[in-house]
Amino acid sequence: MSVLAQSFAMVFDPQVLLVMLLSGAFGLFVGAIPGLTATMATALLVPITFFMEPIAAIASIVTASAMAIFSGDIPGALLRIPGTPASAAYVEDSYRMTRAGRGPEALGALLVFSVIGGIFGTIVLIVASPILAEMALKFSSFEYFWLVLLGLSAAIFVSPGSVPRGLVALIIGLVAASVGMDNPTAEPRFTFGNLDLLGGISFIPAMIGLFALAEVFRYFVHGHKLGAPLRPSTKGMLRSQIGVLRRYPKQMLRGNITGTLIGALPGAGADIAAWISYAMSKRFSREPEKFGKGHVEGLVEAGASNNAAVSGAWIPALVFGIPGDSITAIVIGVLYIKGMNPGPTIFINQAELINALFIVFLLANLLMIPLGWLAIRASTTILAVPQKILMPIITLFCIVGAFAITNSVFGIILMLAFGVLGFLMEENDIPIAPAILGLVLGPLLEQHFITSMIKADGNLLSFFERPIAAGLGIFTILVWCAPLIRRILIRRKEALT
Amino acid sequence: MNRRAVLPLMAAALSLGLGVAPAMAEYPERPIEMIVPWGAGGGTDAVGRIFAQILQEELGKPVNVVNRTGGSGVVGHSAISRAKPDGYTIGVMTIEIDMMHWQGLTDLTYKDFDILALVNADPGGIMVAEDAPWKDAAALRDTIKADPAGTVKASGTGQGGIWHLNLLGWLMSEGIPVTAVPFVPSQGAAAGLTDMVAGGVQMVPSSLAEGRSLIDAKRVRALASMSDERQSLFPDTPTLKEATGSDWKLAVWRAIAAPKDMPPEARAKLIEAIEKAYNSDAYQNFMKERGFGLRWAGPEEATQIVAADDASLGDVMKKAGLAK
Amino acid sequence: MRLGDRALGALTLLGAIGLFFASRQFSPIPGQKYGAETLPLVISILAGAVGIWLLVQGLATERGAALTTTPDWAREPAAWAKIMAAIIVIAGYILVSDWLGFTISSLILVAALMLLTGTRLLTALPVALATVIVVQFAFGKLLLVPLPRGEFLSLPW
Repeated sequence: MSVLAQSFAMVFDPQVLLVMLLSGAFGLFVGAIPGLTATMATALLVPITFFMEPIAAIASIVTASAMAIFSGDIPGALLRIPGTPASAAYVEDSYRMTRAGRGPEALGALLVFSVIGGIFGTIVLIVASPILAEMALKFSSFEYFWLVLLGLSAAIFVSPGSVPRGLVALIIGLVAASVGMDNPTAEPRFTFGNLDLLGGISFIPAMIGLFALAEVFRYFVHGHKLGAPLRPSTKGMLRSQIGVLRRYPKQMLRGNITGTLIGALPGAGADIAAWISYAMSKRFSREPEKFGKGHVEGLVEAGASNNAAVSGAWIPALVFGIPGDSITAIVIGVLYIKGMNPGPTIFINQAELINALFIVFLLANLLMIPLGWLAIRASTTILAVPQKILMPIITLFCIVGAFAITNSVFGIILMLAFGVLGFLMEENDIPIAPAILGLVLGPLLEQHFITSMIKADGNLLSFFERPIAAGLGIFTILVWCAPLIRRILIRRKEALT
Repeated sequence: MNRRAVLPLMAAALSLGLGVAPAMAEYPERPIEMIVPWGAGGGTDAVGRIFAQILQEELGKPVNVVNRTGGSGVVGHSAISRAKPDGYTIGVMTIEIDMMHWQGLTDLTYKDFDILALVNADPGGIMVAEDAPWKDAAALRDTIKADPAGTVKASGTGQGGIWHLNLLGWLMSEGIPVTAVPFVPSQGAAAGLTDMVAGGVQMVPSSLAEGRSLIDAKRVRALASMSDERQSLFPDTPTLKEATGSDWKLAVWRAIAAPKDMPPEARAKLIEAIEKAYNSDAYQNFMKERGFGLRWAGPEEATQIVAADDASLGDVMKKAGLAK
Repeated sequence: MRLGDRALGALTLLGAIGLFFASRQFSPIPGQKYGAETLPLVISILAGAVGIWLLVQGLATERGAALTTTPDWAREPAAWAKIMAAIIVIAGYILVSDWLGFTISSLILVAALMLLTGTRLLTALPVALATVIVVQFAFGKLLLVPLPRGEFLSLPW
């Protein structure tokens, strides 16, 4: 027990607490700005952590990254600019809620379920790290191929309205994803001799264009007819979530579990987790027709899922030094510098440091409630700004955000092109979300397919030879065939009666 | 705040009107940009950021890291070489500069840069899974020689990436046909190592530092290091020469480079600051903790190393049919 | 202009055919059956299937309807002019920002867009100035985004 007491003393040191508070505010700020990602927040912190004690260093990164992932939801809900691809999964719902004057409710739900997801992921991290890390080590390209394919099938479920039009969006995303030479064969594709295109189309400028800039264009065209989103009071924003929790306990639990498991896989991460959770939520919902039109159910499940995944990503990082995402890739470096070498023995040899790390995790997630609440309060004030002033300012933010990803005007060019594309897509009732999905998952699909084929010498059957791969494969195929099977069953029933 | 914007405006208008450039104050008078051709979270980014941090203390002006990623480093390296040579843009150059022009991706070579210093080098290695049957590199070589092609597969970088070339160079030095070991492209060494532990491939020819945590966790076995001497972090791992008698050597390095034709005064000041930063305790400790190899070479020696690698990698790529 | 299912289907099918032929210029990895051409090929097949799906669906449900429909806004030249102007302003920023620097070019951008949304000049200018200063401080100074300095003027950071 003295070890635990020691760990508590390490964390509840005024200096560590102050560091957490400051980096929490920093993370919220960075995450809320489109184009600046949680990875960027972490990278900016690294030089500062050199001068900190081990626990303070880790605490600052944990706090900042958790906050940044949540606050990526804020511009999504308020301005339809998702901060991360993970929050793009449900941006349609949260933004529609804001337009209907339920913005704080949506943000409150995202906050509360982010916290719950983060804490659930942490608890799993505490009790089951070694087992889950072993499981993660069993995943090779065959298993990831099926997982990515499952994620892509989410496109069919996340597109409201016409299914073929949703697939058109997916195709647009996949084509964009195949540009450049960062593919497994390293052969430049569709670059037209352009140097910048060699690097491919980065999804964040594309995402800012498709969602945010397209919205600016829509304002210019439809102008005052659309009307401004209302700015309702944030009173009772958190209390009302108790009701949401009572209504959707199953969704919350499912999101937590899916998020943690997928997060623990080094090749997957929060993006895939959010999309799969959102699709699952819609698939099993009693009111799937409400999804994408401002429904809170998907926010509960996917919001919990992506934060659980962020905690889950630490599992392989701590146990085997394998990064679960780009944030933990940076973290592993910091762990080494601070003498906390990752490995199975870290839990025994450095028990007090690891316990302190767990406490930091829990504390950071709890800290998210007051800090997040303040951030929501502060950010909803922008809804009070008249649209005709707000839209040009948003455009400038889009430009700077897109620029910050490539650090060149190429990001802005991409954003403008995708802004026009996004506007045209919406005018044609082609949903945006599946295009993002294709852009994010397309490269992963190709990577895992090509590497699997090289390993198997072109034998397609090998996708079913490993037990986990076979299970995932059969599951994916069942998901695809489910509508068909259901139709046949219904027809049989009709024939009988 | 208004006034702050107006004053420089007036100053600028004045200097423009007179057609006189403002007198050059002592370098550096404003922040310096350090371009890193690879993304946040990778090894080059880590080295770049710590180096920038220390350099900033030496120079007394902020040194800001700017990631310019994509195209296997082509985008970032081009940005460094095309920047204005005023001493306010420098960058981290990586060994890919010696590969990309052979692949026909760009005309850019190391000759287009002013290489200021080499600050790190990590020798390549051979790693297998702990449960693999090979206890040393000679046994692995014999299996590759004797068994049908494809029995052993390797991974660790993209197609035609540096560790792919390391594998090819090793095979050629042992007189083994390069088709004997198919290469499975991966997103970096960590992904390749994970895949190896999962049973997807049999060997990873990346630097041992990249497999350190898995070696410590007894999941991965290091068979050889492609260096002149054993590495201090892995004293039990023999050099390739000791293990199989092969003369193949390869180390990935990171260099600080700038666009050509910098003002000599700025160049001298930068080189001095870089050497001080390299010798600082902060840098030395950081590199040791992370398991990165320390290697110093001044401008002339660094350029020689880069040129030698350019020749040897070009040779391997031409023989393997990877050059265009 | 909104494309009906038939028109969109035909367009998708056309894109699929183009992609199919474009993918043939890429080559497989040496010694393998798969490579750079695989993904574009698979996408083109998927696109072809979706195109046919849309065509069939359109032929079944849109009998007698026009191929495309024009929404109300598209009949107003003013709406077209505004959207084109916005695109031109952003494109102009892309072209000149390296040369003019962030401060001046973003000031012009925000002010121009505000005039476009119908804000009065007296409001637009100070708001634009304040925005640019705040953005430049937050991104350039605090978050170290390398905003272009330009040849003429930039704030002292």
